[in-house]
Amino acid sequence: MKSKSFRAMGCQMSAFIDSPSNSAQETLALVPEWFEIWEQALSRFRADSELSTINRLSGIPSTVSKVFWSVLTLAIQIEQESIGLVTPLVLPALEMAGYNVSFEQITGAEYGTTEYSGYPIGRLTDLIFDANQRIIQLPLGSGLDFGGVAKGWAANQAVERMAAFGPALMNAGGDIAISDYQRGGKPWKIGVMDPFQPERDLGTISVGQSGVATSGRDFRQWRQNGVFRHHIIDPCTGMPADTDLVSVTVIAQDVMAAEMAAKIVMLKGSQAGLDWLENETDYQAILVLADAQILTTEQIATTQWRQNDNNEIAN
Amino acid sequence: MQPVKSNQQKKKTSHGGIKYILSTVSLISVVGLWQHFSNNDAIQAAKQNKTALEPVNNQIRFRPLPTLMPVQNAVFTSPSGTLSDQNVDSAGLRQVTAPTVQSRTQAPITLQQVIINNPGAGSNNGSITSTGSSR
Repeated sequence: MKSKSFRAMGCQMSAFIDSPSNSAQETLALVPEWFEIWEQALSRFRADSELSTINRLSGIPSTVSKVFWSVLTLAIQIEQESIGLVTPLVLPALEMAGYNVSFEQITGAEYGTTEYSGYPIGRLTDLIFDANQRIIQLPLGSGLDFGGVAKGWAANQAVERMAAFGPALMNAGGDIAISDYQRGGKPWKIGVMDPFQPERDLGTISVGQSGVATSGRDFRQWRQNGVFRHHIIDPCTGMPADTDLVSVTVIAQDVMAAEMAAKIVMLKGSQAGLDWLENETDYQAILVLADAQILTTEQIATTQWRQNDNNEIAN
Repeated sequence: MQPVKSNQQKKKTSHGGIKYILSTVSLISVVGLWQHFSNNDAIQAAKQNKTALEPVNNQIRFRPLPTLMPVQNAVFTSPSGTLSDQNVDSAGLRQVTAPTVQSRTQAPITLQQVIINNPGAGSNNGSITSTGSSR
């Protein structure tokens, strides 16, 4: 097993290739460079990134790169499938809520002169674009934040490249893409972090080709005008989502679908989220409520979910 | 004609000189010893002052002294629970010991406690990596 860990996109990254070959090692050494290129295109925290440039040019037609276009089309698809719940147009709302610099730089306990009470969220259907020439025009005053979509997309891209050298796994800050079972048909054992005690896991899943993603408000939270805010914006209100869930982990066929489903359930809340998951049989999920209760989908056993001791569970 | 001193008179004179010498030596000795001992006290006092500036060791050094105290009917409790009836003699007196300093026991900081959370790395449950909200 060859592996490579590094930081990118404000998160911890880990790449694994189950191969003894030197080529696998050489490929792993390239993974941070791939992420650097993608981050330069997709980061909203870099003033000179392509995304920052496009956001500054809202209302003006602009040509975008292949990477940008690829992520944008994925974001449009996810927005349509989630009926507008998962959209990158939450940027102005995120910034108004206080997330206007990278998370490490948010000072916390800031007091502004005005109370933030939500920001109207648009739809990507308002986006004017020319697919042949990759020209887009954002609605004036709007802005994009690809967030988890970009991480999921990047994890998927990386694992597809690494898979040429053996079974591969890419963990991009909790968004995990897996190309196949390990050699000998052995599944990948993945820990599901306890949002209340991040140094330990709630349990483990063991999976082959799939995608795993977790959406949570346990870490990226801050205070604004004495009020706790977090980074999961509800497009219906333009405010940080008012949800009884602390974190949601979804196992799906690919990491991008898992990312979308985790966000949808997070926004819907535990009851409506489980109702939605009942009709989406491709998804298995582990929900952690604010009272530390753990809920799972009925078919979670297909992921070989093994819960550690001392945790509550309910189906 | 000068009177001739007898041997007895000569002896008397020499005895008086010895007495003078002895009394002088005695006086010098008394004064000297006095000085010596008084100086020692001053040195000792200076030493004690110097020690007082050093950090105080709060540990009680004396050995626990066995004492006796009457047993009350009320339930005795300790941080660890109810006290037992052990060491109570026929007269209803409990043998107790002088208070001693309880050593503070604090669990040593282990590696696991100081590991900064890292979603990229697996934990000790055999997992190769972990998923969680992005960090």
